[in-house]
Amino acid sequence: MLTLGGAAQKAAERADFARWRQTSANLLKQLKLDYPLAELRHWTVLLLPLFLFLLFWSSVSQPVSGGIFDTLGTESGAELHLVDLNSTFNLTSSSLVNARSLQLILAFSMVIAGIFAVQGTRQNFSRYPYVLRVGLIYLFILIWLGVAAWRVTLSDEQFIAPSIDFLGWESQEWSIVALICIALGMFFYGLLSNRNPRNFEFSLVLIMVSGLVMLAPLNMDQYQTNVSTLVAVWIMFGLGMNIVVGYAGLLDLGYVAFLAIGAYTYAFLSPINTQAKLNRTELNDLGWAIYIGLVVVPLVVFGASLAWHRLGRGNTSNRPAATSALKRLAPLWKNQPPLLVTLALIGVAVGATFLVRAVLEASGQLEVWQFSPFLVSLFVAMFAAAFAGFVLGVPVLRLRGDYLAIVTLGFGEIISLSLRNLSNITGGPSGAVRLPQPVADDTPALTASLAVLYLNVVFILLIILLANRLRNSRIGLAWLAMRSDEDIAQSMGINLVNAKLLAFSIGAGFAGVAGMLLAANQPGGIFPESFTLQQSINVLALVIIGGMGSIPGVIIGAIVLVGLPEILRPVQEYRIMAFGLLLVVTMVVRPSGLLPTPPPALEAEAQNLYQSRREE
Amino acid sequence: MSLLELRNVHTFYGKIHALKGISLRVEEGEVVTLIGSNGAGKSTTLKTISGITPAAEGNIILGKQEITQLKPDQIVGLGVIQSPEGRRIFGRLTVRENLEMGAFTRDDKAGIAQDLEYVFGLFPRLKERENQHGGTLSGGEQQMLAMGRALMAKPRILLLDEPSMGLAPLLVKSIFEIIKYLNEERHTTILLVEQNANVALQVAQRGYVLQSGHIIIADDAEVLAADPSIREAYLGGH
Repeated sequence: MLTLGGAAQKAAERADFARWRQTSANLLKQLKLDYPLAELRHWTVLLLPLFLFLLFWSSVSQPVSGGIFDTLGTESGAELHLVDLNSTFNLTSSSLVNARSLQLILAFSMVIAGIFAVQGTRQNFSRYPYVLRVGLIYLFILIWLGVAAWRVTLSDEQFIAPSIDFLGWESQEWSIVALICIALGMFFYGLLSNRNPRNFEFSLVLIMVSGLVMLAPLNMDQYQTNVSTLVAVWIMFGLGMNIVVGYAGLLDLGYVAFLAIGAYTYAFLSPINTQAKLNRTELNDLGWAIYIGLVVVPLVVFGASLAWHRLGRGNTSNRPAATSALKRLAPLWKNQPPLLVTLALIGVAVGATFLVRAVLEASGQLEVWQFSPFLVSLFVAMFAAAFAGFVLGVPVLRLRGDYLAIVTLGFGEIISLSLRNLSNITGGPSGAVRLPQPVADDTPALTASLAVLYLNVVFILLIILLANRLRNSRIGLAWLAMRSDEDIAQSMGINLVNAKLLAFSIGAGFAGVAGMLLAANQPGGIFPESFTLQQSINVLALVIIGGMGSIPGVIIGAIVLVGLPEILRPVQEYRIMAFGLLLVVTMVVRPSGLLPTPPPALEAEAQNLYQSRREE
Repeated sequence: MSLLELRNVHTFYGKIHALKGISLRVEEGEVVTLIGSNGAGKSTTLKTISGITPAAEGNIILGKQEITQLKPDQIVGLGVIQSPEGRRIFGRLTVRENLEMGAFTRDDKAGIAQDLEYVFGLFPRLKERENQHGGTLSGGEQQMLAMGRALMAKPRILLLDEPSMGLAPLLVKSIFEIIKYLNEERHTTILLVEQNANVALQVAQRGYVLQSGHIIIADDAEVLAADPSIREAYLGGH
């Protein structure tokens, strides 16, 4: 045994991997294969998501019964299902990993491959002629719009949107409106992106990947949709946590409290929640009042203010140097047009809202139009959670590191215990039950779940957009500085109070939206057990595993930490153990996360080294 | 009228009385140095000026304005910029981002770009390492970065806390040459805290000697450098 080990060690010592790599690289160069091989690898990375998507799309997970395939059955969908996972892998319904899990793994791999494809795009593609670049972008847009249109118009049962019958139009008409909107958006995106040739490949791959992600849920059954929604909610949750921990470096161990606040806000405002003793008529009045107060009026005020500022009417000339991040946002509420104009605008907006309401009432839509409570609770949940974040932020302003973690842990426990014990408000341990999904009453279950999944995807995109803007803004810079060193950040002129409170509130607001969408896809109800320390730690682990401060990292982290355990559920008691092992191995092998934000210095250094080696 | 004046300033760390009535002034365009042994209160004085450890008693006056009660970020906004002790730069940000961080309170993009060029001209090494993480720089480069970052804020008065700490003698020399250049060519007002009194007194016009929270001697730099008791205590006795 010992001699064997010794021999292996000697062999390893003798093996000069670097030289072998060098020799093989030289050999490839002599054979003039190095360029084609690099090109092949590049295109494989770019096209892998498409390949995985096709595999996912053409595989069938349910041989005879259940899900969307039942209704598709012998019609147009049948010839598409080329791969029968059940017969390929000889699976039965009692297998540990069944076909629908395999299919789901394919879908998740597609998302991960998509992230790598977007990140693997090369910058300079100006060598292709302009016509080809523009043509390819639009061809891609057309292809995926075509596929979406075809799939969407198959039949009403499989339609992605809730089957609303709103203002005399049915789902089909609305789907066409939606497609036109998407096409217009893509058109303008195309216009913007192909002005800059450096972004050409990036645009192309981004359009492809987002198209694939938008299409994939159409091929999912109930189970897969639910798991995907769960992952989507956790991505949103993680994106919020990423702001608090990843950007601002504030360790928050009670973060699940904001998820709970979002979820229970939805429960309180839901019309058919018996626990909260709110009936439908009460909600509609309350809902509209909240909607006007929290959405319409602030939007008008902000809008008027921004317009006034942009038009140059406001006081922009002698602006003092901004000494805090908040002052940078001042044009949002300062520089108002004259009070009368603002009041008139608010009046018009409120009047319009009432007009819409009157029209809805007259056409008998108000009762079934449940998007109203949904939108209301969306904003209320966001603001409530953000306010809670602010309230938590104030007492912990002076705390750092371990001390901050302990206090936030306490905050999380307070919320968790309140949910369990304030039975007359929250429903106590039996939870807030019978929550409505944001769809019309007679929508089939699968369609409703799909609608919620799509809502999640849309909100994830919005939050990613927002988080990305924040990261690159002055506030983002202030957060990064604060994470690095609070004292120095302070002596650079950063207002720590503002920066911390903003991080807490914005992160909490994202978590509130996530919680609301979590409740929106749990018709069975929400329970205090879903909002415990375990979840806080899970979301922290998700951000760390993905790579602190990295948005794609959060997506991968959520898939690995939430999606995988859910898929592994059939393995029962081993799954947590396997999961823990996975965490340990990940942290040992990739200590800065699965997909950390690229370290610019090391990258540049490596490139320089590579260049100089090549020249030698 | 002085640019910066401290009148009878007292500062406490909890119950510890760190500054026991410091009075000093810095004129426009001057280099003033604070020397003293460990724990004399040199760094505390700078932290008190920049509001990080606010004064319990006394007044700090910048030009005509009282800044004793202001918050650190407001004081930075008025142009009192500190380059902290121990070269504390942002290790996870690139050199360029570090410098941009210095200009956080500023609004004028053109001016910032101009000053970036100026700092790169002053420290060519930083230009070479523009896209490298701050944490990967050598000690001397980190000190250059910390000073460059402070300059990016367009200081009315620059507070330098022990720029020579832990540096090789050759690097100390070049850092002090730059301090001299900043003062003589760019007319930057500098309040310099140093343990290495020998070099500090060479670039400074005036100096204060601190001992356990009190100013014990205040005089011109040449006089201090020639004073036998100071030579005994702080200049290594030669």
